[in-house]
Amino acid sequence: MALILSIETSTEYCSVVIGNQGQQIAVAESETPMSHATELTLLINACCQQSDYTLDQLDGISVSIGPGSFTALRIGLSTAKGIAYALDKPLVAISSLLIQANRSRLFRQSETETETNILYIPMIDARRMEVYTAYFNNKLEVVSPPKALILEKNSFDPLRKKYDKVILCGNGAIKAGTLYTDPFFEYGPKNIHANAMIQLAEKAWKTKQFADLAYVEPYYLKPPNITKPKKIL
Amino acid sequence: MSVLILAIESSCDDTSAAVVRDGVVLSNCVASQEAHRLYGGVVPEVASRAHQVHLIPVVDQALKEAVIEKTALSAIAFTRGPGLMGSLMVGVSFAKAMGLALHIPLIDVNHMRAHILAHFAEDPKPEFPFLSLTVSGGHTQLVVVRDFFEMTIIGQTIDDAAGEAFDKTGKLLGLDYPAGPLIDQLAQNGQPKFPFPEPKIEGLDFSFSGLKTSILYFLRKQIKAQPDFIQENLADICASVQHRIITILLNKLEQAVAQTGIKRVALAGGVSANSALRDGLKERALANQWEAFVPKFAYCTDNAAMVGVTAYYKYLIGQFAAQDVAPSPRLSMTL
Ligand SMILES: Nc1ncnc2c1ncn2[C@@H]1O[C@H](COP(=O)(O)OP(=O)(O)OP(=O)(O)O)[C@@H](O)[C@H]1O
Ligand SMILES: [Mg+2]
Repeated sequence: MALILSIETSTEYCSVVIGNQGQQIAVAESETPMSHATELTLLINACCQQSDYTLDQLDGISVSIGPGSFTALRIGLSTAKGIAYALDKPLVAISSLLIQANRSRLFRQSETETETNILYIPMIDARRMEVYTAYFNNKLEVVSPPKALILEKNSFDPLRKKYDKVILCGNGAIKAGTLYTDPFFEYGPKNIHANAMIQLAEKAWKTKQFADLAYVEPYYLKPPNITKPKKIL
Repeated sequence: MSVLILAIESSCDDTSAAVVRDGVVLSNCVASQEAHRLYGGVVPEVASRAHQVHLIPVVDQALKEAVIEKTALSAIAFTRGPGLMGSLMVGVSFAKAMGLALHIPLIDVNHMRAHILAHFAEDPKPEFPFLSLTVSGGHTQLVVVRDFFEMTIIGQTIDDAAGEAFDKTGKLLGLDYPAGPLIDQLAQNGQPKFPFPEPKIEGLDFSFSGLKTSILYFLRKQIKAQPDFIQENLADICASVQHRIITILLNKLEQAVAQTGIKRVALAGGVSANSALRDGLKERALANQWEAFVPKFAYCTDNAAMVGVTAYYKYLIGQFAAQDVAPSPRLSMTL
């Protein structure tokens, strides 16, 4: 049973929640895109005020670790580290793709009970037609690990044999809309939100799946883009 | 009660943390990033990633060396700019979160002012007003410092910075990044026998891009006649380039003294670690009866001690930042 602050900053909007024993007791989200740098700690403060808890009363911090926008992830993780380090709290790092899949699953909870042959395909927007994605089954177990994928008309055709339906969600699913229109594809929520972290964080906290506070890094999924120096003389 | 400040610096490729009590440095820890050597310059994305894993170990070490508990801190200070956006973001976000968690105020610091105010970390401290020649990897400035917070730039580079001139020359010579310290070392066994022209720039401004081009052409020409010219003459080339950069700097400084009448002068920034520049300043000071200040080596290149010292003086007048403060990569000197 834990009181956990969850921070989500993988995309252009950020959000914060406080969960108590797996239940949301405070929530705040940005209204301006890419305003994480100015807004994030204000949102955290707002959650504290809403819930009447102070940060030192928390049992832990959870943070969306990526993939996502590099800068946005860095703001979220640096902020989470700052609080966890200052107050000696454990840190839980959760995949943004798992958060997005969970959010989608929460949206269709009642249907989910009966369906077994479905796949959650969360997509975080990368550049052009590229997305970061992973496949999760109905129990949110990883079926296919995170990767960067350039969306093409037939990208998901191999899945048709095994699954009745796939659920595309996340901000990357916005550009998928024109490519995948037949009933095999269902669309889930296009935005990610910290409210889908509460149960995941609670579970990780209970099983003590803590991140190494000093050395944990965002899950970038891609190496830095480096142009080799050219010969000059 | 004493004022205890934890300061964080992450504007470029060094991650640094310091603890400063009442303006006195208790600890100053720096983690440098070796990775950039391979690329011949700072790669912003690589730097941002490295800050993320260096920051807590460096902060932790700074607190331990100072024997200070986090809960005893009076404020958290951080470099807000100028610098690289991604790098600044890590330090600023972390500092803000620590301030929020510990319920203590934030102090945002201008990196270029901090380089100058590093002189207040130790005695003797310069009296106001003084002239600062700030020479670093990104800046070359002549600044009239009237007070901790009143600084006016009276001259600056119109293209490359002095540190850049060292580093780019190093690249031409096949030296690792940053080449400044290497050129300094190599030059000690050389003579400034290759003449490079002094640029004719009006007023108190500087220019180093012409020098870079003339070095490039000079080397190309020599290599054509003698393929191992660089290897054979490395020390002399370094001494010649260094000599030219330094005379450009000191000549302008002399001009600035004449123009302002301020005979108290100070060096600041990474290039002020250069031994020939330090010696050159002392010589001119002696000849012209200036009072000269050179910073301790630890306070030349990027460090958090200078951020903490600057923050202390802001603390005294209650200049704090709100929680909505964000990094400012192009922060100007007046802020
Ligand atoms: N002994 C030396 N001789 C010459 N140059 C040096 C020496 N030591 C360091 N430098 C130069 O100093 C620069 C680094 O200084 P500093 O860390 O202050 O710069 P920066 O923080 O990258 O730039 P800025 O402060 O303008 O944002 C590099 O260009 C480096 O080559
Ligand atoms: Mg600097």
